[in-house]
Amino acid sequence: MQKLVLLVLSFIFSISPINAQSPSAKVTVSGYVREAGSQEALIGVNVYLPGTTTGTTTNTYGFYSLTLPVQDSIKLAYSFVGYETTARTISLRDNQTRNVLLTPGRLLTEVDVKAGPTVEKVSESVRMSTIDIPVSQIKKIPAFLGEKDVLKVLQLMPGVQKGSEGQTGIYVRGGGPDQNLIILDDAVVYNANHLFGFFSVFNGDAIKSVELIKGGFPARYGGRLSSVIDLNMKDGNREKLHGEGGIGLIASRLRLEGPLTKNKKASFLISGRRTYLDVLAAPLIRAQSGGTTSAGYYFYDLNAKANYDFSPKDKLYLSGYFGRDRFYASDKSQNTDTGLSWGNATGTLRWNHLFNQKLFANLSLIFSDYKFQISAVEKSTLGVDTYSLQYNSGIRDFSLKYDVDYYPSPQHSVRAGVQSTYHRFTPSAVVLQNAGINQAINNVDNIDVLESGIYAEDTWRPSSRLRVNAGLRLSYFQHKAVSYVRPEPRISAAFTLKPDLSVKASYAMMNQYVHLLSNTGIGLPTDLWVPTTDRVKPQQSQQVAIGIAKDYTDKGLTLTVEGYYKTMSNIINYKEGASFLLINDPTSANSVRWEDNVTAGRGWSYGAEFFLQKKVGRFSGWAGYTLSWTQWQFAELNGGQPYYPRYDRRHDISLVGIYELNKRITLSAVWVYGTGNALTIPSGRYDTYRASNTLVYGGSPGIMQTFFQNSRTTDDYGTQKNSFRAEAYHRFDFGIQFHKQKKHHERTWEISFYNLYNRRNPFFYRLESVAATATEPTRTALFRYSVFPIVPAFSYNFKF
Amino acid sequence: MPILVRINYTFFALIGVLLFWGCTNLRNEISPGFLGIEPPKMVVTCFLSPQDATLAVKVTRSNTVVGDSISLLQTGNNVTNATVTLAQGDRSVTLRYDNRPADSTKVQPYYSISARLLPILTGQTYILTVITPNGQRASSTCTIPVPVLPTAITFDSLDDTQNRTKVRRYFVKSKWQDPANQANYYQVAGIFRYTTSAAAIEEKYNGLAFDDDARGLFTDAGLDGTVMPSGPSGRAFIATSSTSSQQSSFFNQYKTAVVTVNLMSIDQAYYRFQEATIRQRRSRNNPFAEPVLIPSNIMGGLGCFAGYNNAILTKVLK
Repeated sequence: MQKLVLLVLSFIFSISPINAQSPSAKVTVSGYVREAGSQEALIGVNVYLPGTTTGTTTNTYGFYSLTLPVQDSIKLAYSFVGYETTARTISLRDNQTRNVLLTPGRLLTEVDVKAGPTVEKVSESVRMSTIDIPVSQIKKIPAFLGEKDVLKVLQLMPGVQKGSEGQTGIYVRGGGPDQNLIILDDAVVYNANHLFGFFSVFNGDAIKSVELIKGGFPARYGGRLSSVIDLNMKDGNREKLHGEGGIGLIASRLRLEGPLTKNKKASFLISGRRTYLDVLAAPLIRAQSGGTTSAGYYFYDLNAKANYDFSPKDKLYLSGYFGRDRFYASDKSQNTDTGLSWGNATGTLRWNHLFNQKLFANLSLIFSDYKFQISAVEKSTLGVDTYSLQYNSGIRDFSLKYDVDYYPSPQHSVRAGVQSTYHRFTPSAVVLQNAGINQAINNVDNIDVLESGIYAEDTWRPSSRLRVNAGLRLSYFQHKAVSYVRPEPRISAAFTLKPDLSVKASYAMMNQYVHLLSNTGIGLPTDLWVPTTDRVKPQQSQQVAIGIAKDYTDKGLTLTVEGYYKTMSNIINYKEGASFLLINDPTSANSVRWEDNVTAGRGWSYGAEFFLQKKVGRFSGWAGYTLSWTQWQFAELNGGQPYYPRYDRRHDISLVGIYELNKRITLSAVWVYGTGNALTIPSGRYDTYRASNTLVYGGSPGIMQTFFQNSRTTDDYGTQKNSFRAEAYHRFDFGIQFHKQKKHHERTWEISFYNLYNRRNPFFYRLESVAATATEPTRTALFRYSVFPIVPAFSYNFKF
Repeated sequence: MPILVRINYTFFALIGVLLFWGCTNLRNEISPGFLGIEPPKMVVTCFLSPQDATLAVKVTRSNTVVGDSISLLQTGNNVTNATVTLAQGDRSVTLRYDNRPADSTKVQPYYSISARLLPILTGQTYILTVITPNGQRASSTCTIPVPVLPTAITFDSLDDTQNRTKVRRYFVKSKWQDPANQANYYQVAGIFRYTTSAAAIEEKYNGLAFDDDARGLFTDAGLDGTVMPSGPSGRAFIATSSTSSQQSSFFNQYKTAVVTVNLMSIDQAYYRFQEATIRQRRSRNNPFAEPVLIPSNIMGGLGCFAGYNNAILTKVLK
């Protein structure tokens, strides 16, 4: 392992010159920043020398390291949003370890904000196109049916668009929902949907932090074109047993966390959620079928994590997620059982090791699995299976990842690492037993591929005004004889024009070796991940972005304005008329290769994003506006002409406000507006005919020749794909929370309304015939189908 | 706390009102103006082959959302008063609507003329023009392809599972040699004529149904110059029997059985048009499939004007 570290480091030094020699002696202060009361590690805490630009932030494990010239004493400040800023006076004569506890601020007032920056200022960060949302804010924003959803909150950010109404699909800067790298504790989550995309799999209770990256990607991330959604699970309280739960309209949830040992060295967290519509509906269904049928649907999630500090230098984390959706129906009178289930499982084992105060390393062993299953069983009266069909599809990953963080001086923060993932794709596996005709089919179609990456990046501060993050990622992919090695350069830079105002620019190249077959735009469980093959090339994108970042420190506001241009090549789409639902007959003898149904093309997207955010204070929230254009061009679609894809959205606005009326009442509201989707809608219908009917019968003696028989009704979509614009989407949500501190716990009642003014937003359009009335003949008319009118919800939540 | 009580009260009162309001219909008709007012389009269909005795052109109008609410004429959208001309070189003929013989009572809702007045010849190019009295105009051209003869018809069977029981299915398949170094398109059709072994000796017939996705449409793309079709494609199933019963086997079912295969060499316009309509038809009711746009070679309208050339092979099965 040591050898590997040296190897990686020598690679870094070869690309980023670092001042190894320093004229004056230096010492290092390092340590962990945790939450007081729970010992939860805090990510992204700003550690700085007040009044200077010298500083750093804590990494994913709460670790920081600052190397400074020797001096008598310095004042070091630690600040983080939602926590009271702490300052320590430190004598800087020797290297030292300073572990710091930050106290959560209950209700930050404007006065607190003025005391100092509680967050790393956006104008001082080199990163751009990056958004992090405090989980506490997510819990206050009104949610559909009261189920707090991380992904739906991300949809409210500029540059991020939702798909259809109510869906968790995320479209970032013209990219598709297949181009997002969604990682939970280092593990890729392949299908982040419950119930056909109406809910995401992320249960806010177990999540510590959420970060969305839309561009200017650091070299440590790779594998997708458009975004990175990096989620970290909470570690669990090391001091006391705590719990939190809620009872909502469709689901209940419970979280427990606490210490595993008395010496505060270990803790655990377990969090679960389950819907209970099936439990409530079961007696009704049974009664209606005379007791013979039971059927239902449910989903559940389980997050668990445990961690243990072996020594001040070694820490071990084990975390996992398991979730399932399941439809089931069984009929006693016919002895049949049918089921449909799907879900993700992830597991991550991580070992942190501190080589010295400047060198932090982490080794991760990662498992991820997504599976979709259909089963149908028919039993004879004796209980013997007479017919059984099992159909599976899915993807399974095993990954090994090793990363090092190296902090040689305040001017440099270096990260480097390697990752290798062994994917097993199972596009389809059919096991069929038909005892009646002695038929047995066992077709398992597995594809094994290897995807790897090696990277190094340096955050370099050459002067107090300039910050640069430069890096290189080398990605590697192999599937049988097909292999690719591709360098991916990444760079972003920020230049401070004046205090609190900076300009930023970035460039990133990304490659994507796995593809999602899904033309529905809806998060269906049948969405299938497939690898790059000899016929389907890897997708590639290049993105440049420029922008300004401004902090209004006295008001606690930050403003970012960014423009971007992105090109994407070898993106895939279904051919006209093709659909996964059509080709996927599990028992079909002449199976269609998925590659025959897709076609490759290119796309480009550009736009501007305005984002005004207020993270602290009695009134918090944000306003976002996106102006963008996205176009696709496929040789086999739309006659090879460019066209606007379905989710091309000219204007997108979101306003989110949270107001703490007093200690007991929190009000929140969301308003969103988006240009309508670009759709292909028939403007008319007509009859078409075949030549053969006329000729074949006409040519046969004794049969009358007829012309233009057997007409077929055909839809006229015009000559341009997606030339129809749906009506604009807009919606207003409102929520109110009533908090009360009881003797042993705190309880919150929440009432919320989704789509308060009951807007009929389009879900899809259909041309239909309208029957004749007394005054009008039969006619054809266009109908808009909406899914959600106003939806009220209430829930009861508690915390102890 | 008074404010709390007040808010609570207001909320629960509101819930009732809003729920009532929310439970109204989620399916709403859209004003046609929203689609952009588009008048109905002229739809022209005409297929020419040297084997035809009659040249026929169908002219209709498409139903648009706006269109049908104003067109109260219930003539099946046929355009009956257009001037329809077919031309080749300097020869030109005008086709007449409902051009039936004097003794026929059956309406012929299309324009036609005897092929003797404008012979359809292999390799020649024809021009079709349709002009309505109000000045709408549609036109197109097509060229008659060279015929390709089917070389063989094979008769075979396979075992399959239908409704979870094993069956034997009988099929015919024709073969032909694709001419090399040129793009060729084919439509295979045919007829199965038979008499059953039951008492009646009346001859019956069925059209051949091809189980390919494109219903007997073929392109030589990737197969240029080979014997087509390749692999299992090109099968037309003509009968099914239960494997458990000898009585139902093919030869017991029929007294006579004859298959005629028509191998129609078609032009590219016809292939693209038919292939798209078949694909659209298959996915039309699937809201998740990519919509299929129908290409048309009719300038100023929709539909298809195509040339084809027919070649026949017959095989007696019993």
